Amino acid sequence: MNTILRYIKLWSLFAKYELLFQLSTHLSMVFFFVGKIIRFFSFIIILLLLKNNTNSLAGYTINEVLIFFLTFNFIDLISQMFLRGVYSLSGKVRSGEFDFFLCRPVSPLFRSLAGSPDFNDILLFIPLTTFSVWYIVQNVPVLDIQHIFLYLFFLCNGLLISISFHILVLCVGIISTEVDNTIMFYRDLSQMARFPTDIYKEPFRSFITFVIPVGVMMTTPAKALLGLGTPFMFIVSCVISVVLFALALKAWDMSLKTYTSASS
Amino acid sequence: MFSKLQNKLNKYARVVSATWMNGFAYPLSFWMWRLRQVMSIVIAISLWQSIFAASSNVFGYDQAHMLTYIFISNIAGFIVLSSRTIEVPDVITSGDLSLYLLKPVHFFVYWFSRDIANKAQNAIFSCVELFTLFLIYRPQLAISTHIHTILLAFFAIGGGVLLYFFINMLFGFMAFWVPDVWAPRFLFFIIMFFLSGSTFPLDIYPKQLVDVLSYTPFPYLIFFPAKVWLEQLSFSQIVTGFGALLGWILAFGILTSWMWSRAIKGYGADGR
Repeated sequence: MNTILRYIKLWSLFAKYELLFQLSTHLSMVFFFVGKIIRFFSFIIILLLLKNNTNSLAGYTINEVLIFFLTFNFIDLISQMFLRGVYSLSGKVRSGEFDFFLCRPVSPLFRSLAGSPDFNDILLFIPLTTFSVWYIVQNVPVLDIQHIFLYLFFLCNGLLISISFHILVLCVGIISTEVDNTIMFYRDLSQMARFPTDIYKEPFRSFITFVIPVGVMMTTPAKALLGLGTPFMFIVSCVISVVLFALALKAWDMSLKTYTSASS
Repeated sequence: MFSKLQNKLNKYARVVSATWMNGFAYPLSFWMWRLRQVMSIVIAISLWQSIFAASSNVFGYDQAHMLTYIFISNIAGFIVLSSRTIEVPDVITSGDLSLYLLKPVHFFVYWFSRDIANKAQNAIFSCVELFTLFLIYRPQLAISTHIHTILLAFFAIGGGVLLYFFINMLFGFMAFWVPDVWAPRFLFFIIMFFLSGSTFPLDIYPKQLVDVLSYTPFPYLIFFPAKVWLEQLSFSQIVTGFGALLGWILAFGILTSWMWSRAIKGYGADGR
């Protein structure tokens, strides 16, 4: 318990410094905020335009597709908010600054993952989540406790998969000292799950379900909410997230062993 | 006279060659970059195939014409939108610009040479990728093979390349006055993503919006070259389109040169 409290306190400290840094470039914050709002609502507009032209997408109504998109957006936003440190790790490895992460009494994994929260995304989180909740309440036909519980549970499951991917990217950063395209690859891959994964042909569908399970991460919560999931799908989702998380932790340990501190 | 020109060309050919090799310096990163390009096309093709599975005509397009648009806009996008000028702000803020000023190279031509290498890399690899995806999806395509259409599309893509180069340099030169260029560039990229026609044809938007957009530079980056290649524009639309493209290139070219001359007068080599 004490450790958790200590890490919460530490994270608050990181967040405070990051906020002060981001406020020093407040005009940039405005540009990022406006850009992300435009991106979000442009997709909504395109899906609404589609609604006027077609009835369904891979057997889903456009309203249901929008719920898939909002779920994707929620998981993506939370990951961006809290796991932004991944983007800057390779620079720290190259400069040797990563040595300081290793010799302090704080988990280097925690420091690398959550050390630089993004306040632009925190600003976005409130209006976009409010919009998403409003849209779900308006458009989900059966919204009972069971569906809400499953939705929240599989959102957490999706976040665990997202954390695992971010840890794996950190490992790539330590081993290869370059993560830019790897993290962007992950992000682009996760964009595939912005729509129901049923739209993809094989082998792409199996690839994003079993190999790099972004499909499980993003679509299982939406299917659970819409009452379209099966017990088998739920069990497979949980198994995939737990196994992936364990693998990511193992990979992290192995990558630390390869770190030679050559740059410092 | 001739040997002087040859020397100059050799100099920039070296820049092209060095940038080409530099592209492979981080192999993992390179292949991730290629996979990202493949994924963007897979998403677009899969999405439109699913849409056309339910309706035969969407936004006035049938499946063959929409998928042809996706393929052509991706080819145009790979060539027009790949650029190394994204590194210009770092060169300015770090003070490395001083090194460029001391070298016998023209700053614009140097970066344009780097862009050529990047675009060539992108174009060559994307041809292989698109062909592979073609074999997987076997889409019905309606690509024009008329030589005059291909020539016109080639000029339109060339115009888009120049326009995008000047726009990027303009953003890069902002680093002379403001410390963070990434944020306005991010906003520009987001707007460009939706308004250049890189993911879907712009004529899916309401006609009034498309008319307004034709007065902005965005459609001339990808939408216009793709529509030229698809032979979906009338003669007058092609003439007007090329006129507007030329106008935007001149406007951004003049603005960029003016910014460069102003900036370089006040450049203090900060950071060095």
